[in-house]
Order: sequence, then C-alpha cells, then structure tokens
Amino acid sequence: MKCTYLNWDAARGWSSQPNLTADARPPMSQLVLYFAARETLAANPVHADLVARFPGARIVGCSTGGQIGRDDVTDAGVQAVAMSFASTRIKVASGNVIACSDSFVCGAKLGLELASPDLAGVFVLSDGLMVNGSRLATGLSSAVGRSVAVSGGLAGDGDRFGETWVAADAIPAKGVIVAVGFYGEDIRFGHGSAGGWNVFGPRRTITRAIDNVLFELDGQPALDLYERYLGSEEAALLPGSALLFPLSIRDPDAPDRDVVRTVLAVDRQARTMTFAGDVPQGWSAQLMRGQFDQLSEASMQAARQASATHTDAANGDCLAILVSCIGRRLLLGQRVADEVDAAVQGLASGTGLLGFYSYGEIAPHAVSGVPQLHNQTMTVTTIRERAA
Amino acid sequence: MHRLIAKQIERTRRDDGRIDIDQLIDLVSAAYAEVDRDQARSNRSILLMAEELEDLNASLEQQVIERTEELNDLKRRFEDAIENLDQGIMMIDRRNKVPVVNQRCIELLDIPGDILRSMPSFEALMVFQHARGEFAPMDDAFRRDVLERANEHTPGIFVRQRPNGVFLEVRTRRLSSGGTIRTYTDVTEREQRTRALAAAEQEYRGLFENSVVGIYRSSLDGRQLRANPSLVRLNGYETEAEMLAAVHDIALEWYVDPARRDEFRDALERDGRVTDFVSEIYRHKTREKIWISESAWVVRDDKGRPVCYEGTVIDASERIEADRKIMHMARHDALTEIPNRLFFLESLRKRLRRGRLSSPLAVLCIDLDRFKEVNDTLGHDAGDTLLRSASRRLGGLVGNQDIVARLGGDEFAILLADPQSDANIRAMADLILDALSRPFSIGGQRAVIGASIGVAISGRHGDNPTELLKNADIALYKAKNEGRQRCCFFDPNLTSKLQRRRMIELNLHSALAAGEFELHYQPIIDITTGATISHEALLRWRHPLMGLISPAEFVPIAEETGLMIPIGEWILRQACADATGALGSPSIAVNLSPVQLRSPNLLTTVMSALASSSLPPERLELEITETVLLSDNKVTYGTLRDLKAMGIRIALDDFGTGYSSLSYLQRFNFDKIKIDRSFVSPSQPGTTGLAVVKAVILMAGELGMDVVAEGVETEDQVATLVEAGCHLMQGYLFGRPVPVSQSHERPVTHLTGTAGEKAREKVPREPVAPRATTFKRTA
Repeated sequence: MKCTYLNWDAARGWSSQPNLTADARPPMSQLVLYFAARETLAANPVHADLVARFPGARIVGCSTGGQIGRDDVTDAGVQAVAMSFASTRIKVASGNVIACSDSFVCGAKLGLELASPDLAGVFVLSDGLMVNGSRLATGLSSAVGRSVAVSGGLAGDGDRFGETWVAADAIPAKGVIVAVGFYGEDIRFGHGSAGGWNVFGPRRTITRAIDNVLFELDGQPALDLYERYLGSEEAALLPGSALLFPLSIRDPDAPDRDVVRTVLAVDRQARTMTFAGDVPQGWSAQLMRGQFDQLSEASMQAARQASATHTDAANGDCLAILVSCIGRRLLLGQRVADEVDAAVQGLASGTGLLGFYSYGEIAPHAVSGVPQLHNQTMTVTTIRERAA
Repeated sequence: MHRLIAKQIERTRRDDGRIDIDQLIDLVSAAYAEVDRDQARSNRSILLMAEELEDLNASLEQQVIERTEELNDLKRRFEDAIENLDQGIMMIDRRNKVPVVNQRCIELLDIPGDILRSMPSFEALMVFQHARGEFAPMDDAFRRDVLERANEHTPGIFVRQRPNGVFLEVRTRRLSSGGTIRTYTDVTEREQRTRALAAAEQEYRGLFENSVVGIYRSSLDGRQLRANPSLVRLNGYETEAEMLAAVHDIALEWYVDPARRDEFRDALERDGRVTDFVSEIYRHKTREKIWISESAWVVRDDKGRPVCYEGTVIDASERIEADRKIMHMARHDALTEIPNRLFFLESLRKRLRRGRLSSPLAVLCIDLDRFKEVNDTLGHDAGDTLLRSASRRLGGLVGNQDIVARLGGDEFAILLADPQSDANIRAMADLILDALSRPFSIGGQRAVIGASIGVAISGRHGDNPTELLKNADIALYKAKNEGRQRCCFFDPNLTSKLQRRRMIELNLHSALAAGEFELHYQPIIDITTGATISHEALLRWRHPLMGLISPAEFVPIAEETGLMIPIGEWILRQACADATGALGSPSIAVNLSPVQLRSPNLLTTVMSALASSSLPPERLELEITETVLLSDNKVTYGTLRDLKAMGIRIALDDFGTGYSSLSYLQRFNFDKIKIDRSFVSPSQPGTTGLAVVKAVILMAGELGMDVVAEGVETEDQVATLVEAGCHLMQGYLFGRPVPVSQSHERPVTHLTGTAGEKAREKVPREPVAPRATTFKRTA
C-alpha cells in the first residue's frame, strides 16, 4: 500500500507528501479520503479537484469539527490521503439517511451491499446529526458479520451542530452515509479507542428517555442538571458546551460495561437532550469530567492498541486514521495538539496519519470486538497491507 | 507548557519568519483563559458535587433516622406478635445464646424469669431443665440426646412430654443469620387424640382379627381389599393373602343363586346399607354350599362419594337349619311325623284357592274308636305306638296329592285332592275303616280298635278350610253317634242337639284356662243339732255365650276327652282353698271321677291341694260312686286305702242306684254313705224306699259308717228319715248349692214347722232333674 498525503489551504492550494509532481504521481490510487470544515467544502471545489487529480479512484470524505494532521489540528484547509493497494480490492456503498426509516436499516443495507466472504474491513463515514450512530453500527455489523471490523465516524460541524456533510463519490451533502469495504487476504486493520474521562458526582438513574432522547435523570429534567453544572455563561453555548460533561451510562444488568454518550442537540422548550446514541431508560448515568493530561494519555493508549495488532511485516505504508470527539477538542482548547502528539507517540514509527474531530466515533469494542458507537474518545484505525 | 508555547510561536510565525507578537500574545492569553475557564468549571463542578453529596448525605441521614424508627417499630411489632402467639418461641443466636423468648415459651417450659433475663446459653438451659427433671417422662436415649446435642440444635421436629403431662411439639428451624429458632406448641389435645385413636385402632384391629364375625372391605368393582381371619376361614382359606389372591369378583363367585348378587347390590345402592341379607353361597375354596347372613354398607368420603364397601358375614347354616326344623315342627306332629292341623289347614287353603274351578276336595275327619281304652289299659307308650301305626296305615292308602294329618289325640284328617265322586270317597272311607279295624300288634299285645269317619266336600259343605274341617268333624260326630265304624257325610240338617254336644266338646278344651268353671257349695246338716257339719263342692261351667252348662251335659264329655283329670285337679285345689278361706267349712266334700281315681297322680294331687291350702286331711271328704268299684280293680282299692290312711274321709255317693250292693260296704271301710235322693223322695211314695233306707242305716251303723240322706226337700222327709235313724241330711230344705260369696247370706233352715214352711216358699224347687244340682257320677 502506498499513501499520498495531501493538504490544501486557501493561500497555498494543494501540496502533497511525498511531494507529488504530475509525473511522479502514483498511477493507481484506488481510494481517496478527505476531511474539511463544512465552510471550506462549501466555498471550494475540493471534491472536484480530487476527482480531477485521482481519476478512477473512489473518493469519499466528510465535514469535521477540525482536521487532524501530523503536526497540528486546524479548522482551515483540507486533509486528504490517496491510497494505492497492492492486492486489496475496495468497494464503496452509500445511502441517504432520509431514505431510511431507521439508522439500523441504513447500516444493514450498506452492509448487505458490501458483504462478501473476503471482506476484511469496513470504514464508514456518516452524517453526524441525522443518524443514531449506535444503531447504524449495529445494522452494519449485523449485515457484514461480526468477524469483519467496522470503524469510522460521524461527520462534524465545528461546535455549531448545524449540518454535517458526507461525500460518497459525489459532492458532499447532508444525510449521506458512505461505507468503504476492503477485500482480500492481505489487508490488515488495527483498532484502538479510549476516552480518559472520569466519572464524578452521584450516580443517577435515567428515569425517562426514548431511544437517544433523554428527558429526565432522577425524576428531574436532564437539561436542568447540565445548565446548573455549566453555569449561565457556558449554558448559553449549549449543546456544544454539554460536551464538557459527557454522560457515562451503565446497564444495571451489566454493571461492568460503561458506555459514554455525547450530546448532539438540546431542546430548551421540552428540556430534553439528544445524544449521539441510545440512553436506555432504567440505566444509571453519571457525569464525566476530563483533565488535559488524562485525555492525552488515553489518546496514546488508543494509538498503541491500534498498532499492537500489526505483528507481521508490512508491504508499503501504514496509515492511521484518527477520529476524535469534538468534546475533547472543546475541552482541550489549544492543547488539542497534545492529544495528537500523544497519539503519534503511541503509533508505530513510520505510520502516516490524518483524521478529524467528529460527532461520534465508530470502532469495535475493545473486549467483545463488536463494532459500536463511542463518544468522547480518541479512536484510531490503522490500515496496511501485509508483505507478500 | 513549553510545547504549547512552541506551537503558539510556530503558529504566529509569519511568512518572512518573524513572529507576530500581537497574535502570539492573543494566543497565550487565550490559553490562559482556557485554563481559567477549565479551573472555574472544575471548581464549580466540585462545589456542585459537594452540594449534591451534602444533600444526598442529609437525605441518607434522614433515611437512617426513618429506617431506625421503622426498625424500632418493626421490633415492637415483632415483640407484640411473638407475645401474642399461642406458641412458645425461643431464638438461639450464633453464639448459642438465647436472646429472645416470649412469655408463652416461659409458661410452656416453666422456666424462672431471672434465668432467661441473664441471657443464658442454650446448653445451660438444657442442663437446667434436665437437672429439674424436665425430660423425666422421656426415655434415656432422648435425655442423652438432649444433652449431647444441646450445641447443635439440629433442625427438626419432635414431640416430648413434660413432667406435668403436657405434650410439646418442638420445631427447630435454622435462620439465615446462622442461629436457630425454636417453637414450642402445646399439642396435648392432639397427642391425646392421636393416642386415643391409636388405641381405638388397636382395639378395632383386635376386633377385626379376633371377631367370630367375618369382616371385609371390598372395592366398588367387587375386588376384596381386606378380609379378617373369620371370613378367610369361612371361605375355606388359611390366610388373608391366600384368599385375596384367589378371589376375583367375590360377588360373582359367591352366590349359589347369581340373582342374589344383583339383589344385594341393588339394596346396597338404594339404601346405603343391607342388613341380615341371608343367602346360600359357595365356600370359595371348596365350593361347598353354606348359608350366610350378610350386612354391608357403603363407605363414603368427605364429599359423600362412595369409596368402598364394608360388611360382615356370619355363617347362618345352623340358623337356617334350625329355622327349617322349627318350620317343620310347627307344621308336623312330633309323634307320628305326619302333618299337623296347621299344615293341614294351610294346605287346604292353598288347594282351595288353586282349585276353585277344578273338581271339589274332600276332607275326611277320622276318630279312632276305643283308643282311650288301649291307652288306659296298655299305657301311653302303647297308645303312642298305636297312633304311629295308624298314621302309617292311613298314609299307605292315599295318593301323592292327598294329605294325611293328625289333628290331635286320636283324631286324624285326610285331604283327598281329587275324589271325583261321592262313591270314590265312600270307597276310600271303607278302605280306611277296613285298614284301621285290622288288629294292631303292640309290644306283643293285640289291640283292636275301629274308626269313625266324617266327610265334608268343598263347595257343597263349605268353602273355607275351617268351615270344611268343622263340618267334617260334625259329620264324624254323627258317625260316632250312629254306632261307630262307619262313615257319614256332612248333613246340614244334623240335629241341633248333636251340634250343641259338639260345640261343648270343642269349647271344653279352653274352658279351664279361660276360668269359666266355678264351684258351688251345698251344706250337709246334722238334724239333731241343726249345725252344718260339711259342704259338698259342686262344679258349674259358665260359658260366655252358651250360659250355665249342666255338669250332666259336659262331665261325660270331659271324661271321654281326658279333660276330667285337669278339671278334677282344679276342683280339689279350689275346694280345699275355699274350705280354709272364704267358706270356712268344718269339712269339705269333693266328688272324685273314676278317671281321677285311676290316675296314678291322684295321691300327689290331693297332697298338693291340702298342703297349699293348709286344710287338715280329716276335714277333706272324697266322694266316689259305685261304678268305680264295679271293675273290682285292686289299684282302685289300694288308692282308696292310701287316701284313708292319710286321714282323708271316703264317702260312697249315690248309694242305692245302679248296681247298688251292700257287698261293697263290706269290701271297703267307707267313712260315710250317701243315700241317693231317689230313696228319700221316691216318685211314688211308698215304703220301698224307706225300707231300703232303714236297712242301709242299720248296716252302716253296724259297720260304723255315717249315713247322709240326699235330696231332702220336705219336713215330712225329715221326719221319716229321723224315724229311720238318719240324722245327717242334705237338700234344698237346708240350702241350695251357691257360690262361696253367697254361702253365708242365708241362715241354715232349722227343723221347725214354720221354718220349714218358710224355706219351701223362699226356695221353690227347680223343674230340672235332681241330678243336675249335684253331680254324682263325677267329682
């Protein structure tokens, strides 16, 4: 596998690493991934540029809450990678969430399109606001089989939570879900996911919720609790500010498996909060709080997990796709770079990377291997081809 | 911070490589602001969390208070509850201490309160109880166990008796906390009931096992479930198991008449029980037939549904046999073993009913002539033998459908089922007369009798058994009257005299028992003093329908039928009793019948009559008639001498009539001679009578015998008799025979002219024959 990393900014236009000239361009890039802010995508013909540069390649991408490059996290410009596989075949399936009655059905449809005995892994990008990520992941996984690793993330929209776009061999648009299937015996994936958040305060009970809409905790409107903790100043910044206090929820029947949920929207009238995944009634919930160092430490752990699976020799480049939560970026502020640095330290040397801040991360569960939606984590997917 | 500043510097480096200071300062300030915000957020969070935790803590404290109160409340309720229990409760904790005991427990175990207040160990409690003799009513093993296991208090249930007799049920249950709880329940009543039940059960088992009555239980479909030894033996088996294995459906295999099974079932289902159901069955093992009497009942459950049958069985073979014998005896004559009157009448009734439309039946009444003579001369055994022989001869003459019966005494009856004609009946009667007139050989002696036969024919002579038999009997009487050894058919025109005689004969049998006889007394006067020296007892029969019947009419019949013996005995007893009782006579005279005189029991009877009345023998005078002496029987004289030897006076009655012979007076030393009335008041007054009287008085005087003149009615007669030397007199002139109750009402008439006249006026002479007022030939 050969990777070409591309960068675009308004001042300098496209640049690449390794430095690509028209002649030196690898002829056989089959897949291009790209990440950019929604405004950038709206204002510039990013997709068209890439189609022109990589004819014949499948080109997918999404809007973000910030792009991750090797050195920094920026809101401006475009981060992209073009992949050229030695033996791996790819297939792209896409759908629109509006056509699907349910996120589970959307995921399952895409999964069925991709499903094949030699399917080795799936990378998924989805609209970040119109989709229940938990159900999407479950639907996908149930169609392709549990042995196939599924990872990816939900598109972001900065800290505005307005619209999120996904490109699937087409101009980016909202409501789109795209899944890329990787086929063959040589392709290898590694996964890692970690949060680093700590629970604090009393354990509460979800006394009223429907799917991913939370109404009440301990009989009180959940939004009241969040506004109290945020204070009036930050409460005004909801729903983004709610990401500073993620919710750890726990099935009382399986108390050793915590799941973190992050807020996508609030309804001040109804006093409800909408989360990126289900918040089942009857489960317990506890507020979480992050500290700079611990978040970075978790980031490194995720990278290490993703690299640890690669034991055999690689054929060509190794790519790490970092999908981190927008909540982390909000908390870390300028120190968000520390998180990326930590991830780089956790990766095997020579691994290239790019990524984005998302509204939800998808990766296999560390223990069960079942793909699921994560929140407030750093999720790392590593891809490479095995040496022949 | 170092790396952050480096990044900030890098970020603010302009294209010419110089640093944009203003931008750098902004970035640094922003970084500080971010840290401040985060700090503020943290502080706020911690504060809020602290507040929340404080609230939570307060709420928890409140909860603790409430829970404590609840617990106290629970504890109170628990204490109330256990104090109100009828059971004793004792809790034993993990350390084997006894922290909880309710009042009932203290009462039941009778443990002093101070011991329990010290919260003793369970073991100490056991030792205390043991030392006090708490377990004395139980056996050694129990006591050992109690002490050895005092530390274990193993879960379980046992019942023990306290020294005061109370039974305690002790239940030990393990608690989840590690201790145990013991409950003590007074089960004395239950225990006593159980024991009483067990005793009763034992008793009933004893009854079941030892009863002479067979007892069983069977299922509704007839399977035997239990059978006691008696029933097992009755069925010919050795053991219950052997019998139960052999029997399938006892009801099907048992009854000789299979219909009895259904009758039994029907009765059981209809009435719920069957009592004394008598059937013939097969002894199950041997198939021998026996009779049994069963009682059975349906056993039902609480809801009234039948569960099984139970019953008892008695071997009734002997009873049935006895019943049969009794039935046979009731209908057969014991002596001849042929049917008796009852059987004859029953058969006759059946035949009449059955044969109403067929040819008439004939009833023959047969009386043996001269049977009494055989009986009297050869003895009763000979008489019995004769009767048996006669019955056999009769039996040999008749057909299968005919019946020969003995009606009583020497009277037989024959029912001819299909005689066809009068001629046939006469032919049969001739055969019978012929057969019975042939001599009988009895004990080597020859006896010749005859017979008389009366015939009545159904339809013509009556249509019910009693009437037919009565009419045949009347016809028989006619045959006898016409000279015996003949057969007479019933004739509705038979004379009423005959009928009356027959009626008397028939009624005489019950007269004595019915108390229809009475004694009247007539005084005998010594004319020289005017005093009553004696009374003669005279028999009277007052029949409720026929009125007063003359002795002359019934005494001969009584003598013929043998009834004179019991009647004579009654006269003796009654007269003796009256002599010392209401009559108060110096002496009493009783007539003896020849039949009585021949009876070997006479002496005994006389002694018994004297003894029971306390009458001295010398005050009893027995009068006999000349006819007694005719037979010249040694036995008769012997009896008379024996009587005389006892001190009883013997009088010769009716002297002068019949065969009167002065020679009798020489053969026996009579105490008194009674001159018959015919000499005293001859129908044709003359000297013949007087000459005889004078001769008799003369002779009697020489032999030392008193002379009494009977039938004295006039003072002239008195004068004549006195002149002849007779001064003892009896007759209407001195008093008529009257009942005891009237014997004192009339003063004895004295020998004075006026008195004689008055007496004659008062007591007119009755037109009846003199013999009717005194009975002479009989006693």
